[in-house]
Amino acid sequence: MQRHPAAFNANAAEALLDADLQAALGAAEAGFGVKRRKAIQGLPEFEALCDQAAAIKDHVLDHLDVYLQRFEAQVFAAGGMVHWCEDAQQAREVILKICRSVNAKTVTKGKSMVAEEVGLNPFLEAHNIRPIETDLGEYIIQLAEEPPSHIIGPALHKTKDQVSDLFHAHHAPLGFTERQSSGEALVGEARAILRQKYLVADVGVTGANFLIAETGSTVIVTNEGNGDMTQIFPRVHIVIASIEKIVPTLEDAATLLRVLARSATGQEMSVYTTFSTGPKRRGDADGPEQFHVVLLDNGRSAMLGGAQRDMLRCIRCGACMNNCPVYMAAGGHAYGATYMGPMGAVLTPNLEGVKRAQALPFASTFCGKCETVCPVRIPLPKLMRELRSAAHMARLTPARERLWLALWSWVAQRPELYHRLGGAGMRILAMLARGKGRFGWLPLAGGWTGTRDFPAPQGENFMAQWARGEKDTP
Amino acid sequence: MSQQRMAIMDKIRASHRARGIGSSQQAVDARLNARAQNLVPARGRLTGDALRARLEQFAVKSQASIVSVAAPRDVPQAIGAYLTAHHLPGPVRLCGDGFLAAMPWDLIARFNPATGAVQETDGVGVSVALCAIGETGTLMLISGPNAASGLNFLPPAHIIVLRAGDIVGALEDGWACLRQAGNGQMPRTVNLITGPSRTADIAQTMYMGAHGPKHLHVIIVDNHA
Repeated sequence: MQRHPAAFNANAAEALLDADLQAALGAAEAGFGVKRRKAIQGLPEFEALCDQAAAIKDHVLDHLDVYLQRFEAQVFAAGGMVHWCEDAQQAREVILKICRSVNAKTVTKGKSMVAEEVGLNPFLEAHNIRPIETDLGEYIIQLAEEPPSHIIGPALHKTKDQVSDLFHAHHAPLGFTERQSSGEALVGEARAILRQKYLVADVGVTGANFLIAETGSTVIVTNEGNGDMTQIFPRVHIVIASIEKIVPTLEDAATLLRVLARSATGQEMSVYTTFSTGPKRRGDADGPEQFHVVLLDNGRSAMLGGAQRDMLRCIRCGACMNNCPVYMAAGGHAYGATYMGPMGAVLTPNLEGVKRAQALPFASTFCGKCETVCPVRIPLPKLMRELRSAAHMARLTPARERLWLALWSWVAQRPELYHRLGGAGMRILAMLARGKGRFGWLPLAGGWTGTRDFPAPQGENFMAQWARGEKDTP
Repeated sequence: MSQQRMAIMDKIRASHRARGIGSSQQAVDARLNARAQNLVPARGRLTGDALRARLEQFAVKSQASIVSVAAPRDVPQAIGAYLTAHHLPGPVRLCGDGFLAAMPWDLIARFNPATGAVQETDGVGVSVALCAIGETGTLMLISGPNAASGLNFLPPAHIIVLRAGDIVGALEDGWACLRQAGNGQMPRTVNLITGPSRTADIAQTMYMGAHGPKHLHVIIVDNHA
């Protein structure tokens, strides 16, 4: 797999032949759909809540500068610090500076896609600070030296056997000499090893699902509890989050929480929803001495003014990829980018440029399921269509493809000619396929016939039948 | 004001202008001051026995266990019974909450109950909930001088003591408790806990006790001061 969005087609072809990956994806696809449906059935107001959730995010985007100011003021009032970062490099530098100010040797990390977006781990490693992922899925892929393949299930592409091998290889030197094959034992091993890390780390880094303007709180939503131990025990808690994560009030957070877990994992509520506000108070029994919020823009402020703005409503539940036939066949690594699936196919060209990521908006059948399941009503197919159009207009798509499209569009704008050509083509194909009813190979259609037969037309198209007067026949 | 901050603000405002909209301090103030509730689902608007039943139902659904005792003095023995039934070892680490301090802990001296900083060797953590939310079977806990958040995560078993009068319907009702408790100020940490720790990161199969507690037990105290 190449880690570049332009390699999507080659990556996807490779992914389809990867038996382990296909087994892992198969297990995931079966689970996600059923769980989400069940959770939604238990809440009749779900669709109305989604409408409100989308409206909350739209309202925030309309007043984003004012909300960010308020959030900053509230973090400050609680004794914390806010660091503004225009791009990934600034975010990495700020975090390094904070780590160095306390002579940090190890940094524990809760799960954060924004930390992934800025490439925090390799940067810290290059500066002799050891980042330790504590979310089990993130821990697995850190050992495997792979990027996440799903925004909420980073190791979704791994089978249990692969995890067994990986743990055996990495944990044997730590005294866990037996290769474990049961899930319980594997979880137990990771638990025992990571437990030590929380207590000795100098700095804990977490992401944030929401930033509450009313209170200056950052919110994480998790099931394992690692994100909490990551921020409770070290002296310094750093939160890295992108600017569009703002939510006005606790009441608004309640609405978003009601749709988030149900859309993501099909839970009524995730196990741990934690609001963190400032450092520990005077006299508090525990908590960090320093609280830093690193706010990342990285292209989002520009998206705000354009046609792709709706994408900024995203709350990163992952429902779009869980319900995407392309994601579930190709897996997350095929996208060659931080974000994958339909949301990644829209966000990546916006963050990394249409030129670099133009292949991703084409990684969709436009079946529309992603838009149907999106809890904040993001019109993902429409946004992908706009990006396809932008790639076409900028001549970033293959020249041959553009030529055929231009030819087709010229003919399609001339109905008489279109029907004549269509009818003639159909008769010729029907004649050629006489007796078989299908083609194993067709010129110009190798992409189709390479893996399956092309059904032969039955001799006449609809327009011809209509003209023959069959319009009254049911 | 940092240069980066100004640059980001400028870009946001340029984007607003491009859309022909202007952000409004008044609109933001109005929303933040009103703290208006959005749609609260019907399942969050139960009261009385129905609310209590809903909380218990959803707590169990989240893989927690839940029992009731008549009075605060019954809590230690209820804890002892739970630990014995589940073959869970001590020591029991108690949070510093005054509600627990008044209870007869000598009744379960065999589990070495003690207050103080949570240790890695502690088998059980005992906390007191600020409130519980019937809508989802969620317990709300806040940090403070007598409440270490670490106690909710480090020991393998977590027991939460809940006053029956602190059961509320919806998350929004929980926020009311929270604002009242802090007199308008947020505590450093607010934990909303719904069941014991779990993970599905190995082949999409659910395993309990990922990093936080493997067992979550709720004890409701019916009659309390």
